[in-house]
Amino acid sequence: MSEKLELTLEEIEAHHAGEWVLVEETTWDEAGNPTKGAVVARGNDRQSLVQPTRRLHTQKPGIKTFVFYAGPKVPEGLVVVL
Amino acid sequence: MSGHRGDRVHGRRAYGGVLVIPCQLNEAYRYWFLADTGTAMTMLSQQVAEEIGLDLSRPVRHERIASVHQVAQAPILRLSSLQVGSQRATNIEVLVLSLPPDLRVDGLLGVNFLEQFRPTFEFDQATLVLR
Repeated sequence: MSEKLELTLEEIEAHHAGEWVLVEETTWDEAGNPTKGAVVARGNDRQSLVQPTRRLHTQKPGIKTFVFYAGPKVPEGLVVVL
Repeated sequence: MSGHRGDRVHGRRAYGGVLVIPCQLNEAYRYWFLADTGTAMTMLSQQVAEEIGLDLSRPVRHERIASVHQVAQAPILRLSSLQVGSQRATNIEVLVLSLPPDLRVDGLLGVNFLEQFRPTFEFDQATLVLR
């Protein structure tokens, strides 16, 4: 497997704006928050990352991942009332 | 519950001013959750439940849930841990429900986690303080 590019989370958000990403965390700050990671999979919808996430954790037990939407977590104009 | 007290957990303000916070499940899986004191039980999307390997065919039980526009049944399962900042709750129950696709978070951080601390919302700093 080729080595994946390690980026800051901010860089990942910028490079993959508008996509869902599966990130393998690689670096953390003193509080344990991820600061860098490598994008393992990406997709336009949330469901597309389910199998890649399961597969990655099976292949690499003990890793930490962060799945997120690269962009606003609630889109402009959507008022949340749950 | 473990970890030192008084964690400042930095999140993000989203549209409408709501606060979203990174949460780590079972020490391995991190997602953005919407912090919601109006939600009794922490909730995960079905995608998250599938990713972390929860068996939806074997829930702890089902509960009736009421949102602003419907009452429904939802399965309750158990996480080995839910960590926010360095504050961790273990063996915590969660609901599993579909979330609207337009809502780009993977769960709701509800009262059954928050009540284990003395939470303070610093909205101007996009920060949740857990003491």
